[in-house]
Amino acid sequence: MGFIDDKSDIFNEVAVNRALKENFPELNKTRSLFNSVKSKQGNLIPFLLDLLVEIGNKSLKEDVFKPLLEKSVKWEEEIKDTLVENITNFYVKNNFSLSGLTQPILDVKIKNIDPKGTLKIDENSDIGKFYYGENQEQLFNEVNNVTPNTPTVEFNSNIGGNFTLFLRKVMKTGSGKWKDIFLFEYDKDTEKLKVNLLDTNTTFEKFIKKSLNSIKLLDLSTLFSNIIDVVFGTVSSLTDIGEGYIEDLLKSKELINKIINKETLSETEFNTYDDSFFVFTKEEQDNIRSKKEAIINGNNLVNLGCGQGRTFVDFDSFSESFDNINNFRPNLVKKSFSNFIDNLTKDSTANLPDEDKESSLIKIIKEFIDSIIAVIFQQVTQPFVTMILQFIESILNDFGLGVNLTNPNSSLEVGGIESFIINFREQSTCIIKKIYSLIVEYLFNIIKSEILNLVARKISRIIKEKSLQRKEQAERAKELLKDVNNILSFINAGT
Amino acid sequence: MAIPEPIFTNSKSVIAALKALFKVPNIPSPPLTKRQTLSAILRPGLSATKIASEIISRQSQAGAIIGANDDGSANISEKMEVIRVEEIIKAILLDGKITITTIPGQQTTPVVNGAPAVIVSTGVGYGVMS
Repeated sequence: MGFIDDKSDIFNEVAVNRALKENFPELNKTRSLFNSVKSKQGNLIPFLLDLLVEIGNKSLKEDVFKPLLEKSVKWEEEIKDTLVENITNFYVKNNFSLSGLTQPILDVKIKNIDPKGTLKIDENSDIGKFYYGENQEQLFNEVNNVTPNTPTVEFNSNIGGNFTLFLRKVMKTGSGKWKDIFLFEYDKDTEKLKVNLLDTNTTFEKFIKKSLNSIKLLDLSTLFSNIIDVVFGTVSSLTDIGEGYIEDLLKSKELINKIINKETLSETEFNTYDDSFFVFTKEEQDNIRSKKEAIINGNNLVNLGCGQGRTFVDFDSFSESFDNINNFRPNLVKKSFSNFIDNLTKDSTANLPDEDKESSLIKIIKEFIDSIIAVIFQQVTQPFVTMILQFIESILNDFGLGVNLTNPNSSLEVGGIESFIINFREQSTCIIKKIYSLIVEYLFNIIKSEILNLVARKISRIIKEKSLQRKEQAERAKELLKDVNNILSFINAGT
Repeated sequence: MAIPEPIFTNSKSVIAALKALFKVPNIPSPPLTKRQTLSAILRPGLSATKIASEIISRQSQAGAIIGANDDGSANISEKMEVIRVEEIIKAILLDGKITITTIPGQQTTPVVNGAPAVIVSTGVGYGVMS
């Protein structure tokens, strides 16, 4: 059976099971209503979301989206493990000692480790908090007695730290020490960052693991602002990097979709990506341009079923909730978070007639969930990870076939998330696949439990039906035997 | 029932796993009593008219109109119901076949006039329709 036929069958099964459950057939809803069923694309997330809506027992917002966001920040370890595994297995096939490294291990333009352009934004500005995430001021130690070779900013906490905020401070003060791993020097004139390794008495694999474990990769507050950015473009439109950033977001989202569609329909584990894969067709370019213009003009990216409506999501709508998430005690984060989603969806549908509100809400939530991969991926492309990948790029001669421990320069220009994906395509593909599989697994498990409920009702109905059938047969038999007795009595009475 | 865990990065594998979830295991019917079996000989047989009239009388449960339509015209769906059942019954009666297989009976030892006697039953018959 074909891919589309198989998807149609699943919708038919749901319809049949629902009809049985409700006793009244509801088979008049044709599957042609669902574009995700007819789609030949490999990305199953839209299909799974439509299926959840069709089954109809779960609220997409309350039972699927909110728990998904809470769960997604807990995927940090799995994503880090994937990164470590891919770097050590694919990029550098042979583990080697770092003792021969020449310091600095990397000498790089700051913009080439900052795909999102976060470091251009003042962390103390109104919108800075949305980009830098968790406020960890108390964990930074600004050293006052500056002497040569003494870093001016130190971050010594053992727990995962906000490296991007740390780097921003390094850019201001000129130097900094990140735990017992890195020593940084920043030259404001050349905008170049020198990265020194504090402990070279280790192997490459141990260094990668220790480095990644020293940072916090996924943060609820930045996850939040990224969602708003990816779907509405609201935060970035308030910055001077807005327009280019929005275009980069849209392009990277498109590339992520292309990668997912290729990977999920592929029969092989490893696919190759040549440069032509990353070139957009005219249709794709036009689509990106029109979406960008819609965002810049303050229109909603989400098609609300009656064209693109003007969004009412603005800075003030989420500023207060955002502060609550960052500053409240952990047990209140969940409540603030839930309120934030409620306000966001309420504002997004505020201008719609009441009868359209519910279906539009579902569309917005679907758009949110569909954007999650791009959102999480953005968090992974933070300066720390990009710096590590630039370092690997600088020491590799020929992708794992040899290393040059004395080369601190990477020639890769990383001007945005799109170029991050293109330059680090093997890593990007691997991370995107991992995030995709985690989301699909999450949705699959919800659907699985819903389907099993439907099927359990069907089984119980069949058992009841069989038992009733036997009961009816027994009564019928009794009736027939009684009839025969009556006839025989009648005949006997006549003779 | 064991449900296969799909490869989440492979769409066909996920779709196959979803389809597998809908499979209903075979549920055996409760055994027939002797009275039910013996009374079968007295059954009246299938009647298309009787079945169709039962279906039509239950149409209202599904919200369908019984009798003539609101505009007075004939109810085509009722006529169709009669035709459908007639054809199904005709096919069952004229084309259907039941092959009976007899499973050897169990040996039982009833007591006859105070002495045990061995009786072997003629067996239990099962019909397979085709």
